[in-house]
Amino acid sequence: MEEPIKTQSLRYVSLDGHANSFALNKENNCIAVAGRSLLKVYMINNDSFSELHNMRHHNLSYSSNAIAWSHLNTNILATAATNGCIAIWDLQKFGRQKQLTVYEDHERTTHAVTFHQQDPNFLLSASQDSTLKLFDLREKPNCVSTFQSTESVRDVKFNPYNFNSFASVSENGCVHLWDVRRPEKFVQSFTAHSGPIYCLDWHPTQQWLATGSRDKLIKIWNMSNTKPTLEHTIYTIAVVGRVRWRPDRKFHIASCSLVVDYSIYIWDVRRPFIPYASFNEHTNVTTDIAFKGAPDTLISTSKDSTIYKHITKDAQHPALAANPQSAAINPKGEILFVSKSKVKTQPVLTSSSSSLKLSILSSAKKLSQDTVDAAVPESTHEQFHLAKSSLHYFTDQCEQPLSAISDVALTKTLHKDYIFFVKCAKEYKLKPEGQLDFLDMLEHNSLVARKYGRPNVAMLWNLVKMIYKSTPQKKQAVNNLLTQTSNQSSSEQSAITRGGSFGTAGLAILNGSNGNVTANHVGSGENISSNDEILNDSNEIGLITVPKVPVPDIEVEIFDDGMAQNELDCRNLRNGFLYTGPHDNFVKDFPMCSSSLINHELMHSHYRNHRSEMEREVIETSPPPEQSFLQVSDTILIQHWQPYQVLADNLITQSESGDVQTPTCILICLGKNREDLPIDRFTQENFLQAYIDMLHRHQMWNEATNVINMSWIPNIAEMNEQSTNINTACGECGRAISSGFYCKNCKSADPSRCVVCNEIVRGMFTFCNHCCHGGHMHHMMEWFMQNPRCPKCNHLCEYD
Amino acid sequence: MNSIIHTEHRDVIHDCSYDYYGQRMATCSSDQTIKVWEQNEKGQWIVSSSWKAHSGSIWKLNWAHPEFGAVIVSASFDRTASIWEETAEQKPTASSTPAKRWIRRTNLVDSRTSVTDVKFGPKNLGLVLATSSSDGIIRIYEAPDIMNLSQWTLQHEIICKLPLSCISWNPSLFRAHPPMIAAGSDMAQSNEPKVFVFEYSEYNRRWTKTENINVTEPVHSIEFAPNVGRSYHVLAVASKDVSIFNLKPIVEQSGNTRFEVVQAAQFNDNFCTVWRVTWNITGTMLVTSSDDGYVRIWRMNYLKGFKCICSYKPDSNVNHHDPQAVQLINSSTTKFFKKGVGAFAGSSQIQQH
Repeated sequence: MEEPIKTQSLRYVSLDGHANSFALNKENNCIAVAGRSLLKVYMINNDSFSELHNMRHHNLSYSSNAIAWSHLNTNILATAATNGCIAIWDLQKFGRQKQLTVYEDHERTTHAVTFHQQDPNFLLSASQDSTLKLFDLREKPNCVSTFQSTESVRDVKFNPYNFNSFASVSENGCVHLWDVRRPEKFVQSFTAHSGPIYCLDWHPTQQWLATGSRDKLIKIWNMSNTKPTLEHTIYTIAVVGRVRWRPDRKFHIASCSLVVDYSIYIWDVRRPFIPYASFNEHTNVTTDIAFKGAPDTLISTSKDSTIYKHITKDAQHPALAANPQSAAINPKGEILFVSKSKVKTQPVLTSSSSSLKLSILSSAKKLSQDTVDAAVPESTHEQFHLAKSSLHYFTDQCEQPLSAISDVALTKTLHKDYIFFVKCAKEYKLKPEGQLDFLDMLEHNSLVARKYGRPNVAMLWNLVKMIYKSTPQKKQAVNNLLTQTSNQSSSEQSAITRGGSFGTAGLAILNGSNGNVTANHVGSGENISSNDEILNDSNEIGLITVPKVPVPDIEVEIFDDGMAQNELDCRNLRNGFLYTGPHDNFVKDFPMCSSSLINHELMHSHYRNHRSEMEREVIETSPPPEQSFLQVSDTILIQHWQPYQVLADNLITQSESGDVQTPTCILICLGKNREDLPIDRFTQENFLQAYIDMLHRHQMWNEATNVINMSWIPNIAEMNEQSTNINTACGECGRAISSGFYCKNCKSADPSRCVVCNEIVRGMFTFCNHCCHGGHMHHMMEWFMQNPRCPKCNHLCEYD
Repeated sequence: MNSIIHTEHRDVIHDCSYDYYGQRMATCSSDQTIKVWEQNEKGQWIVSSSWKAHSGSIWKLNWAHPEFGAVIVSASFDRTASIWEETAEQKPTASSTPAKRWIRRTNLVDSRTSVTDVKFGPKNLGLVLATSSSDGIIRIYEAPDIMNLSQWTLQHEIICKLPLSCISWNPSLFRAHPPMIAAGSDMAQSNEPKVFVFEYSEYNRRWTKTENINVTEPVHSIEFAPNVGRSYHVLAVASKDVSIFNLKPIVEQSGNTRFEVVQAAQFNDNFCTVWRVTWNITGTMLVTSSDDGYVRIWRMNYLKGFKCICSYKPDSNVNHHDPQAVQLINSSTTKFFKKGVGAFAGSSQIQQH
């Protein structure tokens, strides 16, 4: 990702070709870059790089691999070339004289040069020809000593803790420690990596040596003991090209990669998997990195021909962007939750008093320079390594197995949904069978829904039952009426009318073809004023006479006994049930929407709750009182009673509330009658598809197959016809059997014999997928109770 | 009931994911390993496999539909996404069940930057997956032969301008719903919309951006709710707060589909960054986790508003089967029942423990 160039970070492009390496002078204000036909010195200013020297016109027909700046003499530079030449440069000289000396000792490419910290004349080089050479700048034209290594040497650094010692790394994964006075053999050698090591760096304050390798690891070795010990391992994402310790930060080390990865990372060795900071500005491989004396400025060169001055303030922090938390929920409502644990912050630097002092000193210095910079990264990096996560597992599930849960109320919200779904899927009857006719089936399903704590779903089943309770002829008549309704023939409708005055409620529902009217009058207090009416044929609106028709049993249609017995209250209703009307302020006017039936139900049941038992007795057992002459004081709104529309709306609403089971099951139960409902086939297919998928997720294959079988939509019904082939092979010869259990190759029906009893199997044949041997189900079960292997071929069969 | 699972991951765990049935789970961590867990008879989670999967932090993982086998895809900081398949190995011993091992089938290396998220598509599209990366590119891969998981072809590259942090497929299996992807960006400094919705047009054979959803804070997690027969799609977005959007398809006269995007809900988790949103199977409950360490469960009520029915802050010192933890869940649940009603606006009154 390309970031816009930050205020502090600095980019410089106009290199003639890219730099392979660079070196900073001891004041850290100049940079010398070396590359193919490139050798330049720049001054690092606050907001720019300015060119000081350009040694291009010298004999640079070779490419420099490495460059070093003398630690003591600020004018002396050394470059190492791909052809093995080591050149010494003096910046004070002019023109061609700048090039002081060229050593041509190495036979092959030189990879590294480094100056001795104390003696300005000593220079060490490492080469592909498996040698290291020590040069004394006073001695020309040859090196003073040659150190013979075992493999090509990639990098070398003097040991800052022992001036006679230096370390080198080689392509066979070994680190060698040498004594300058003993060139014949290394003092110590150990295998550090499984691949070539490309770089090393000594820690500025600790006796630690960092090595970076092609195996993508950076390893930190403690060199204070006689035997080096591995302190830390950092797992990077690409081949490590360079490593550099960060000044004043004991645990921080920067790295860049030789291939693939263009980013520069700063790692905290205590958190080896994720970098503390990253710089992603380069658009090609980063060739070299170095801190500019202070911990917050990093210089880098890249194959994209740029030099960058990075400021750590502008760095990206991958660990901070990473999500420290995660959660997952499964179909049973069990929740997993992972969060980063807060570990108590410990004083980090206590182990090293010297670096602590340094740190304080430098931050004080820094504060004077840049107050903003100091505080923010300081606090984050102190805690950076302290990261662990804890994984939590929540379940609402009772200790009992599913089947043993009798009291649904015991289970809690999350799990309840699961229980309800599973139980209903198992216990719903989806088609009339045996003694169970259509209405019984609806009744049964209603009871099931109630049993598992969903009175609203139960109510929906009851609604279906109510709509379809009428005999076929009557249903036909209802249909006729409905047709009329849709034709908008105004006065001859069946409708429910309602008034909205609070405290009064009544409900009446037209049932039957001949306009039989049942009015159920309920009232609060003395006034029985039922505002809900049935309009019959040519009755006028306004003052309504309800015919005193003795109510035949079959016609009583006010919510059935089951409903009345169930003490529905608002709380139950609200628990997940969706209705489109207003909810807790149904005291106000009802909007007359098409699905307002639920409001009726709500009002009705609500009302019933508040009604005395006696009243209920009277109303339910006796026909309406003779004197029920109704006077309607409020304006009556006419609601067209469109049961199918109401039902369809309710099914859709139910599905939108996340319960696709109920509408799907109702649609299945309705059979052909579902065509009455104004639900298009796309929606129906969506319902079925979603329900089947949910059943699959609950691993209820039988129920899912059942639903597919009963599906009326070809696309769904076809699901059972897909992937129905099982390829079988003959257990004798291993050839595929095309049809039946007769093997054409063996010309026998032996494949169909039970391997246990050797009889030809009729009916169910069970066999192993691998060896194709099998037989009677019960024989195989008996056999595999005792033996893990196939009775015939000793194959380790996998019967699940 | 709350229990702590000792993961033995050596760094932060970035993702945990249930398989399709919710019987197994997998965790991935910055320590470059993936662990697969199964429950034993006592209901305790046991590591069944653990392996070093990447050479960088692993951000996300996702299970494929079991129709394609036991397959996991992982997205990593090392700029790759890997497909893992569990295989049974024939052990020579006659005893015990064959050992299961996870094998890397392929490594998707097209991204030049960290792969931030990866998700398998709904199974009716075949074996497809989408990756999002911080270079702002969504890549859609397909395994043309589901029996050969080592061959994946890069089908599409969708270029967004912002670095992406998360991605989600519309999980609907319904054939009338075209493939749909939403992606979010966690870019900090800008006020651009950070949620993008793309739809695949069978006619043009390409993905087109249909909507920008105007969430301007950095987005950390995004998830479509299971469709369960709805006519519209529900998308939860986690940024500084949680937003839920309903996307209702509108077919224009030109035949293109647009979406009417309605913000169905917005609630904050105690005013701190929300890192993860995830839906239950019916899309009625949203689980969120936020920076204050709380995990909250929001339940859709009958008005399609969302109420917090449970908020719980796990303490890393909680013992197994801590009675108090159970108490917490219980009390908050009962509280929900008591409070029951109330407009959605009241949801900011989250009970604190």
